[in-house]
Amino acid sequence: LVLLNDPIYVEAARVFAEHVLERKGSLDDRIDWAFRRVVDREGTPEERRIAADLYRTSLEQYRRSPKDAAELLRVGEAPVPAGARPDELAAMTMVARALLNMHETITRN
Amino acid sequence: MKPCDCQIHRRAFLGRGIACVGLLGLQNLLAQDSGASHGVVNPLHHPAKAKRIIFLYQAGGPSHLETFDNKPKLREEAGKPMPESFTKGQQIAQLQGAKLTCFGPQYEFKKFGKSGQEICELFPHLGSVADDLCIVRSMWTEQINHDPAHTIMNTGSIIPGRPSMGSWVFYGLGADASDLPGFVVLLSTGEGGQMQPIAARQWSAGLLPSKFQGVKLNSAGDPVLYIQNPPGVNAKLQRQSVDAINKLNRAEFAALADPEIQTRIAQYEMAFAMQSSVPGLMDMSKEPQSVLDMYGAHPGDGSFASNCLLARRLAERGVRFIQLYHRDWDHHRGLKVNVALKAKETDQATAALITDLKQRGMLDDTLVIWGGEFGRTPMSQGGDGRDHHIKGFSYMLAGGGTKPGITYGTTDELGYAAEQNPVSVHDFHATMLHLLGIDHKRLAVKFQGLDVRLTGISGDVVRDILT
Repeated sequence: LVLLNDPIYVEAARVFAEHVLERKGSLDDRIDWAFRRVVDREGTPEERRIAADLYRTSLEQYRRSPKDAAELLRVGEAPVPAGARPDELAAMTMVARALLNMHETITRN
Repeated sequence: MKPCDCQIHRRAFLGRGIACVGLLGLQNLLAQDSGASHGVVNPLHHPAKAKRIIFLYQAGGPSHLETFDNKPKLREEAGKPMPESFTKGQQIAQLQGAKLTCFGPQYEFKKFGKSGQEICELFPHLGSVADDLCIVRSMWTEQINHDPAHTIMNTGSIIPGRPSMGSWVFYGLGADASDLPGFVVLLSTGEGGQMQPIAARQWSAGLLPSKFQGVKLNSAGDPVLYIQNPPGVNAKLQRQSVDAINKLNRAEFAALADPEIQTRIAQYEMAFAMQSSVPGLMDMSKEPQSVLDMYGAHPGDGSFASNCLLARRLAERGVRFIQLYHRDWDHHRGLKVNVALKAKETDQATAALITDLKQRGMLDDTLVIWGGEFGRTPMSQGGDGRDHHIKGFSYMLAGGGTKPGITYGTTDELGYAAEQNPVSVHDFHATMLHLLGIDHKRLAVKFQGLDVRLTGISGDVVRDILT
């Protein structure tokens, strides 16, 4: 629950999502970059699909509810970059949070 | 292949070189995702009397001589030298080299109920339920210092890293609750101010998969930190995120078959479930004032009394093993004042819990246990206290298939050593498992080439205290 809900980790996921969105290229390219950053390897096709699905469903919901996106982005102290689109950043924050919560990410084993 | 064979650690798995075991584990896991979990003891070894355990652990070492073991002879001998025939060659903690003097019981004992059970006058509420109590006066342990004594009382071994009894029971039987952990721990301290630490290792799953470890709920403030979703994340998004995390972890499990990944997945499921179950658990607003008064509970104050009420609510919700730690029974000095404080903090609530369970028809299948890691010396320490003592001390049991209204076993006339029907820690564990329908000799896991059991290589069920 700490890793999921603690504002520090939510903020970390959001800032990580900002970096992901700074990458040029397709959604798949960005997710690929995120996997390399988090677990130092490429995501398998299945993993990339799971992450992409989470991005799409989250994006859909944040488009419908900009208020939720704005609330999520207010978590933490790091400023949100001026050019960021709130719905995309909020959705990518969900993906970043999931990747940062993977067993492989949080354990050395 | 029995399901327990799937639950092995990565190193054991690699060491033994067994293939394909992980896939069976995954099946287990998927089966568990669909509802309440079931343990490895399935079917039970014999019919169970108890379905769950509430262990009111009194940490620090309560004096048996001011609780459940009446010693008129010690009162007579107060101030006189302790006969050497009792103490010669015996292990002593802080009284090493000191002149050993008898320290008389600081309070009177009374007979309570139809059964005429003798209980210290500091515990009138327990006295009022005396006919429901099964008092064991002949416990003994091997360990004379707190941490190893806690360790053997909780895990049956002094070697840290063995599973705690709550983990064994959860592992063996699973839990009826799928939205709360099967093994929950609550801590309280009260007055007296010793603040002795209790290591979280005491409720560790040890060498069992860590999903069987005890989960400590905070007794005051938020029971679980970060129980709320982050702002801007609704329940649907949280569900989707947890699903995605678990899918990612399942993919890793399919590749690596490390049982700790199963644990991770189970923990995320549990975390999500607890986000909705815990607020309801903690909401005492529907408890009638009469119930709060019976326990002496002020919800949210983190007291032993509030924890006792919470224990009943956890029991109702299908938690298998509920362990309350109440601290600061370590009365080397100022015993008379401090034991009275502790009695006040625990007497009413313990009796209320027994009464409440009985009224709800749950006492028959709930084993309530009250006791600590050891007892205290019949000899004085510093003129007003008692030292650690392992040769004889008392436990109090109620419900769950124990005989009500009896006192079992004795210590010698000065309350030094268990004399009639001594009960070792392993005997106690064997009896507890027996009541749950488990043969303690058959609940074992392979670890480093050995069959590890809660009871090690000893332990006899104390049949005389069973209904």
